[in-house]
Amino acid sequence: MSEEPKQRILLVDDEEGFTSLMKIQLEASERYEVRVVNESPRAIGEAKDFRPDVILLDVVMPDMDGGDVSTLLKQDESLKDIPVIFVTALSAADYEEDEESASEEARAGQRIVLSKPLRTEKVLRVLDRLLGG
Amino acid sequence: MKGVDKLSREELARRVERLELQLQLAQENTPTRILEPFFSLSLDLMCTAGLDGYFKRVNSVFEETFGYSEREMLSRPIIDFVHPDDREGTMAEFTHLEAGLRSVRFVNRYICKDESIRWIEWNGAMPKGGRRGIIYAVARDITKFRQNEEALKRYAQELEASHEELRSMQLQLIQAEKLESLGRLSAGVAHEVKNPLAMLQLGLDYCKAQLHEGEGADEDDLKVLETMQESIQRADTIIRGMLDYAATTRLELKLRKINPVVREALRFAKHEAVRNNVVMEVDFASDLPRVRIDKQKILQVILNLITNALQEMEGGGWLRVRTYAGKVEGTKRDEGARTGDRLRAGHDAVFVDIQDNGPGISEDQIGRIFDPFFTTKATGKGTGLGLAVSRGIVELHKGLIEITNRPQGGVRSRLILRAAQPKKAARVKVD
Repeated sequence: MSEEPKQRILLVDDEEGFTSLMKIQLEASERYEVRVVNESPRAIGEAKDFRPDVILLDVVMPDMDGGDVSTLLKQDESLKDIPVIFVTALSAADYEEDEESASEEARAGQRIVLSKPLRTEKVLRVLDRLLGG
Repeated sequence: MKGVDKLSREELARRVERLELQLQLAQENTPTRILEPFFSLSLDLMCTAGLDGYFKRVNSVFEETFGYSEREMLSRPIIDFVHPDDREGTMAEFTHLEAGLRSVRFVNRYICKDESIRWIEWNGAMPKGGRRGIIYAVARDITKFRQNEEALKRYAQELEASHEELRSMQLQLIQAEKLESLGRLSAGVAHEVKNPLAMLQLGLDYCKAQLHEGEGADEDDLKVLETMQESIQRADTIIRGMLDYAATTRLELKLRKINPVVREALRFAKHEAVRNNVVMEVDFASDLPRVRIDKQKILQVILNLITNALQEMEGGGWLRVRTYAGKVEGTKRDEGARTGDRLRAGHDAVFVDIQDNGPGISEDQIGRIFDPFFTTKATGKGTGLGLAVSRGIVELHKGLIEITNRPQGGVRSRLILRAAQPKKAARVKVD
């Protein structure tokens, strides 16, 4: 089919099972290229190298949690504008019905949160709205 | 009689004089005469009274105590001096005395000349040796004693109240601590369970995609996938409930109006009401006092009460939501009512009253509706945490939540929150 450049997603999560499944699912859509980081301290370096269009970021991780990673991203001139979506098992708060506003908030640089477990189609919808719109 | 005749006038006069002297001596030595000085020396009230209801004699202590002169005391019926509330008792005591019985430590109140009231304690009798129809009585002014007693009683009550408050605070602390540790536990468990659930979900999505791609999915395959999907959702719903329960320990309190919060809850519930064909009516009082609440949490409580009602009315019905201000009545402790000890009868409060004409709650279940994981809903439909969470939230607000069956059928839920005082001076206790 058409050779549109794929959009890049950096997936930062210490759960290897989760990241490998998510990578398979997202790449199956053939619209995204996914790079996985399981050790959060490496996230900034990988982000600089990979230049993602969006970062999916876990919150509770050993060594450096999602909040710290996000702070470092915001402090870096070259990375601060990359939208971040938190994907966490911690919170009950979620954009259950309102994926559109989730995407908009991420685009506006606001903190948005998706709660695990989450369905692939939902992640794809949020990403499509954010990146494809 | 010859000798008598012989007595001279002089001798006769001498003998009469001697007899008179003897008589006088005898009179002076009667008990009455001997006791007379005590009457005037007494520190206590001493008197005699007739069966006609008048004092016959009163000692000087009467004037000292009541301010009336002896003459004033004797000129009016005794009952005139008695406090109106004690007149009936006093009359009864008189009857008792007339029957020849003793009056022991009888207490009544007298109204003094300066209109002050004094408590008097009496001993009285109509003794056999005394003059007929005369009541003898001694009494003492126990007003000071009474006042001290009252003050003591008041202090005891205050002490009891503050002790009670302390105890309820302690209970609340324990409850909060329990919630807090349960909260930490829930959050930990939730996190650990949600990650594997997330992987199951993605794995399931993957399987679905594979099956659809191969076009090899038959009905059984789809049924298996669907059941797995529902199971993941069920587990997730329970975990979310636990997280909610855990999150009840922290409040962000602000002074707010309650009506907009209720309105917002109704907006959220509208969809379900329309689907179940339930008519929602509102009656909001204006100018309600504000309440100190965590808006999101109280919204959650109200929404929980409303959706509980709606879910029970799948065949249609009505739901009435009313807000009003008032005093807290004596709160029921039965029928599932839970009291968060701080809000007490007489306090100014804001009420959110939700009534429906649904099927109500059966008597054997109503006592348990606030228990965590208790649910009346079909398996998989409710977590049984909604009201447990709501109760936790309301108790943290020091409010009340009550759920009762209406006598006419249906359920009445009430959320009672303490009205914020416009300007509340700190209560300082002296002593």
